[in-house]
Amino acid sequence: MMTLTSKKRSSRSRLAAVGVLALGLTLGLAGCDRALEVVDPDRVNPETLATEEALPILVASAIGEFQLAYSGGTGTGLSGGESFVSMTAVFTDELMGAGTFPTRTRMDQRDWFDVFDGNTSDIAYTNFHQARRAALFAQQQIAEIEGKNADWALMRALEAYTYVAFGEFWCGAVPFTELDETGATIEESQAPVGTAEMFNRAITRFEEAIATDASLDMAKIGKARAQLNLGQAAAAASTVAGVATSYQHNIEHGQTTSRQRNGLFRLFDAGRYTIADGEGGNGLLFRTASGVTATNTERNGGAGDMRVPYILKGNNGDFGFDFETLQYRQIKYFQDQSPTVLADGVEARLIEAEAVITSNFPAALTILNALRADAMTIMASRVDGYATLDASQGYVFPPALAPLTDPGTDAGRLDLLMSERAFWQFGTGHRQGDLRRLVVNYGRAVTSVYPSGAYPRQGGGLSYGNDVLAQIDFDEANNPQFDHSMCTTTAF
Amino acid sequence: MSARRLSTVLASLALGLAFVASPVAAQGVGSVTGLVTDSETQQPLAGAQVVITGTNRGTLTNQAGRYIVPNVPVGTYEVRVVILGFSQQTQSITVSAGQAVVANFNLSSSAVQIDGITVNVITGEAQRARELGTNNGQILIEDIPLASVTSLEDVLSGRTAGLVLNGLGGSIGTGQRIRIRGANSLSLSNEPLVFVDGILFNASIAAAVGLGGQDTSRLDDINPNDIASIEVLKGPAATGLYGTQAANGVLLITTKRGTSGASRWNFYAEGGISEMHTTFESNFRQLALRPGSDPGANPVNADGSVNFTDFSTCRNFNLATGSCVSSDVRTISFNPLNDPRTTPFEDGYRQRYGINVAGGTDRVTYFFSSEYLDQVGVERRWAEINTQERTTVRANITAALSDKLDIGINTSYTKNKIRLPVNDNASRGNMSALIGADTFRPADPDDPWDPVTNRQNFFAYTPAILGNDINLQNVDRVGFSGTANYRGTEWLSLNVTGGLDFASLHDNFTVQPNKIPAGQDTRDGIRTSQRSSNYVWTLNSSATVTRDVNDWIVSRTTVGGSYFNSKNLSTRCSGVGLIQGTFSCGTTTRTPQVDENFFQIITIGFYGSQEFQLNDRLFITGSARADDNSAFGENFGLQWYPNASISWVVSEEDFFDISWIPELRVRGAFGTSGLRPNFRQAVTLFNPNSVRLAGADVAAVNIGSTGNPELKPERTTEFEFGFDAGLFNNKIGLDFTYFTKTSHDALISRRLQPSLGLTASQFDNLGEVKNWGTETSLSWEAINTSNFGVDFQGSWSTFRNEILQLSPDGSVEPIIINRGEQRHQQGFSAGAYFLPTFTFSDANGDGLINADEVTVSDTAEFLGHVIPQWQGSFSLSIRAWDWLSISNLFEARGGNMQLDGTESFRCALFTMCRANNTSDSPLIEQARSVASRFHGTDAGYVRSADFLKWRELAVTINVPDNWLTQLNGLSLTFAGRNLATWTEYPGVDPEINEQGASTNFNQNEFLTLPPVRSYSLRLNYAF
Repeated sequence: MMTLTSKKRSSRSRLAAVGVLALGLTLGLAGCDRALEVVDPDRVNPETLATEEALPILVASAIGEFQLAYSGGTGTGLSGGESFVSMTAVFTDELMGAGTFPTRTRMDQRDWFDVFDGNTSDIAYTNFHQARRAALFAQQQIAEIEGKNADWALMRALEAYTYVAFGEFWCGAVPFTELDETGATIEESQAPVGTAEMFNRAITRFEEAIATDASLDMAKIGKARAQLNLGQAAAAASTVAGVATSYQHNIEHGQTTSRQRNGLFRLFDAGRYTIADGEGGNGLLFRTASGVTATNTERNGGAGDMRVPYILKGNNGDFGFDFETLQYRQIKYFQDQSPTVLADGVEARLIEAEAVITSNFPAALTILNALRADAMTIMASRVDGYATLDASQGYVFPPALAPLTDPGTDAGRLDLLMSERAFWQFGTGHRQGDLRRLVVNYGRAVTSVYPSGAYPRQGGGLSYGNDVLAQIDFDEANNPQFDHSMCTTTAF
Repeated sequence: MSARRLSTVLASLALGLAFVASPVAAQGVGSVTGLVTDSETQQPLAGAQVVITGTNRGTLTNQAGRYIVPNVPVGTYEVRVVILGFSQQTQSITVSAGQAVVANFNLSSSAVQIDGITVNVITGEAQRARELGTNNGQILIEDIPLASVTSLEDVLSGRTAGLVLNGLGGSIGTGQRIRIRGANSLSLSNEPLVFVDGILFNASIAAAVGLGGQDTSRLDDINPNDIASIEVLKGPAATGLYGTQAANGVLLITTKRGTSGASRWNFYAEGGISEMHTTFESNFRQLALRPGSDPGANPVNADGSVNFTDFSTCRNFNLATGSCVSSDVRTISFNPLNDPRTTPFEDGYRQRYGINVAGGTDRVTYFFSSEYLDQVGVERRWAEINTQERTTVRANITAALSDKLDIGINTSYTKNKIRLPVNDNASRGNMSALIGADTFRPADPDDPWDPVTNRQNFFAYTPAILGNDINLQNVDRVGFSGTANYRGTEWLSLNVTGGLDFASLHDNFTVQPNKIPAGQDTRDGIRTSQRSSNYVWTLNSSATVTRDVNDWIVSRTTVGGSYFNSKNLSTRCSGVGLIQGTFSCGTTTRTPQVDENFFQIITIGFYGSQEFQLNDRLFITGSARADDNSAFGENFGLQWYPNASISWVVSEEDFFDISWIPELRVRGAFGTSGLRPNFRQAVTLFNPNSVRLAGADVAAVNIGSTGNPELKPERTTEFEFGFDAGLFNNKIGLDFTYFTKTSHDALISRRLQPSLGLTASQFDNLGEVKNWGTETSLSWEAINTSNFGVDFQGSWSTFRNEILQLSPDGSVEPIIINRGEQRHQQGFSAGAYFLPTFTFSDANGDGLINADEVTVSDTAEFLGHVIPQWQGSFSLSIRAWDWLSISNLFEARGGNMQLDGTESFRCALFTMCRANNTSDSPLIEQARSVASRFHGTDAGYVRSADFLKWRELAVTINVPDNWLTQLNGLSLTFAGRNLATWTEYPGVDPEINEQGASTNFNQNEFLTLPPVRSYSLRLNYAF
């Protein structure tokens, strides 16, 4: 009996061992592959995008990426981000700092941090490359599935605009990467491209877009903008000749996601910047252009120019984020949804005026005064809620724009034109290109164009730097064909 | 070999072992019983492990030191008794059928710890320290005065060699970085794994609302009073069987269990205060008398404003350049954080009440506990913005269902409600007063609508206004684990452990409308809310065969499987335009945003382990584990982790005859462990978003991750060797360990050139990181009599870290982190400070430094380590009679640097620091400021972070046994924490960190709340 009992126990033990082991190793025996499967419900697989149904999404995605890079806010919650529009405005004479972030202050000073330390311009550099890649991918998919059409042309034009932005603001050594036939990024590094080549590439692409969709006026204006950058004013005027003054291509903004927001509105609401007024000696009088000096006019915007609406309304009382700088808040974009004009008929007319600014100033003056005479209509058609800014924002409209007169000299006429461009295109990312052209195409000294001399903020003792272009993101050094020594930011 | 095939092979092996091994004959049973006592005090020892060697039978002594092992088969055995702090003893016994054999043990205390017990969570096997080739740390909670403990991090800090906590701050509820033996990974977390009662515990759930820097600590969900011990497995040599996640080490937390005997109740009540004891720097302004003004003019007006009529601001760098010239320069200053009229600090308080009961029978034991904790931080004078209210409940039950089957069930529930303040890199924090006012001006904290008036004493907002930033985290956490141990035969045991750690978090941030005059959104009211469900499932199973190969060799073979599944589901909403008095995204009127997030990682592993015990003094172990993981790249399969160790108790060999070294063990171990990639790092995915087109939102995407199908885990290989020695009758214990470990295929978040148009980075197995160092511990039982005892414990660790390569071909540029202040660069330690350096000379001898008198290097140069190069701690415990005990803990650390970001900001940007505003400023201080302000380098603010801190003091008075019987078991403890700091670091504190535990290497102080000093009184009554 004892032996039998012992055997029974032994058998039971073995059975139990089998049972527990089987339990413990069930998962393995059931198959690791399935057990390790994780379905990700809130991301989109690349395969999903390689279909005809996904084409509208690809088009929208490329537009969205461009929105973000050019004038959007970044995904930083409720605070602001930086875009081409905001950076170039601060870098030039449109805006001044009112915050505490050192990187923004150094940008305002035209004195970039060492590339190792990172700069405010880095994120827009990345965003434009992502926008370019998204546009390329959309082009490729459209061409493959539907053939070249209006959507393809728009994508091509947006890609071209990224070249314009790189050419105007970043140093003349920007690498670009292409896609392979599958739509994947070709990760082999590319040698950097010089500024002129960037504008030429832009022109080529704008032309291809126009060839596909002749009604795409934003491509014509973009091409003309690139041509202006190359000093081809007459050709630029010819390019935009057929564009109606009422035409406008807006970058739309929204509230649904952080990326969609109007970046400049966000930055002002966060107290980061204020409208400048004669910044660094050379800057235009964006706050006091009208010369009206009645009480409170600078507080309610009445002292300014109707094309640059603003009020004194700080992030902290009257002050910006630094609690030291009076914050004159631009209200051209007074909410997240306020659109930004990328290209319009006004720009077309200004390009035409520039083409004759010295050769036929009366013609230029006619163009400029025609625009000024119609300023209320133009502004109302382009600026979100413009006609009711007085009621909604407490804005006091400055006096109507008076006709311009001839300054009498070529230099004065050029200044006049550039001033008109600056006021019409305030906060649209054109000012840096204009200052650059004043130096490159019109022979002006940097110190007579850009804010210079003593920097007035942060306790004094600081000076404006010598930078006229943006540094390339440090991470670009991971491209074996790129070296930061190729990049000069203190000269064009 | 695929994972599936491997699992089949291992399962077959395990099953085969179960069948082929021969059973031990059982011809009847008896029992073994006895008493275990301390030979010097003659006090019973509870919790000692009694093992019938050569079998899988054993038990623990009860509170009276007694034990009984029933149903021991007839035969001759060795009975071994092991308990930490004492030398193990064995006795030979012969068990007869139906008889109870008595074996009493009178153990000698030992300062050398080679016989502590470690339970391997993966295999479920209990192992003595002498069997292991590694130097594991063991923290016994009973040795720690819990009255001095405010969080679980306090339990860990300074207790064991090699374990470093970094980032201690002054806000309650926030966490610290935990690093064991340096930092293995450049781009993945370096936090150790945490197991609680065998179940993987998710200690890394980040708060969903940014607070400027600090983050909540999930370890704070554990009640330290519930913990029995914490085992610290320090590296891959010890964690090989833990697999793909364990390269950073493992913390094994074991909660308390009941022991057989009558119910023993324990009640405690604790009250305490905390105080801000730091003296902060004042805010300065140097003024020059304007020409023609009255020299008798007061630089401060009657209303407290600066008299700019008669004076102008004139910093030292202004004087140096001649931009202001004056023979009459004066300095005004104000210290808003310390001035009693404006300070936002007031003593915080803590109250804690707990009760637990433990007891049981020979077959069933239990431990039940509950605790309520309520504490308020020091930022409370105008508004209580840092609070914590936590309730914990625990029930642990073990049961011997039969002679062969034991089960254990551990359950816990935590409700933790935390309110955290904004600080660090945020204008809406009290600490921003360090860049605030330089004069005192009357403030009206009850008028939050006039910031121009109220801000005058602060940077941006008064503390009263800041009270309207409401950041809350509500945590409901449930832990469940079950363990079954089945001893099928005398030689076979099966172990299954499974359970769930579930945490439900609600992070929310609310600003009521018209409360904070910041941007429009803030003025209109904001609500952000995230609710998340965080699951971690654990299942481990194993089979162990223990056999006597012959008279002197015992073989132990283990095979098993392991499964971890971590899953997170969250929903987040935000909106602005909040309706007054409501706390819901549903009551916001614009900018609504909703998002769902998902995270899941699954690990499956299989392993086998073979140990040979030779004469119970030489132990040789080899093991291997294979893992597959859902986060590996699709082209990568299994990852293998081999391990081996040897441990030799030399002093038990016959040839060893050194009288003053009664115990000596030498040991060595080799092991490999890993770190898996994180979710989504192996695949290219796009984020959904929307785009505004023609006035409507349409669907769009943007690239979210740049995948890498070849992605595999980091492999960290570690060698360690050392010895443990008991000296002079084991009164002195000394152990030494040298370790070296190298992470191969280190996952680098390789920065991509932006021109690719992809994401900013891509994970790739490129790097190689080495950590090496030493650990030395000394314990000295100076006096141990029945009336008096003095114990000294000390440890000293050294750490070295070097990035051997960032990529095999050198193509990866240094990885720049922390705003350009730090970098990962080949040939240097991870995260080291790199900045352009400067020299200076007061060339014109005017006692002032201007920008031209500072010369800055062209390139960034190595300035120092972020990782401490050494750490030491020592404690002294005194016991007098049976009614008084005193303990201390000191910790020192150094060899690393700290960026004083606060002073840099104050000097370079706000120009309000002492260096810029006092006529007697040392030239070096002026040069630091000028180099930062005018040349853009913070090199002058990277300062040595060496320190010595008096961490804790506890004085406990026990009611002596010969007093009133009713008061036996009553004790009163007075405790203090963060009592003193000795450091040359000039900033607020050398160990605080702007981003707390939320970043891997970023290290700097920036408007960070420093640690506070706390005192408490605890009444404990056990009956």
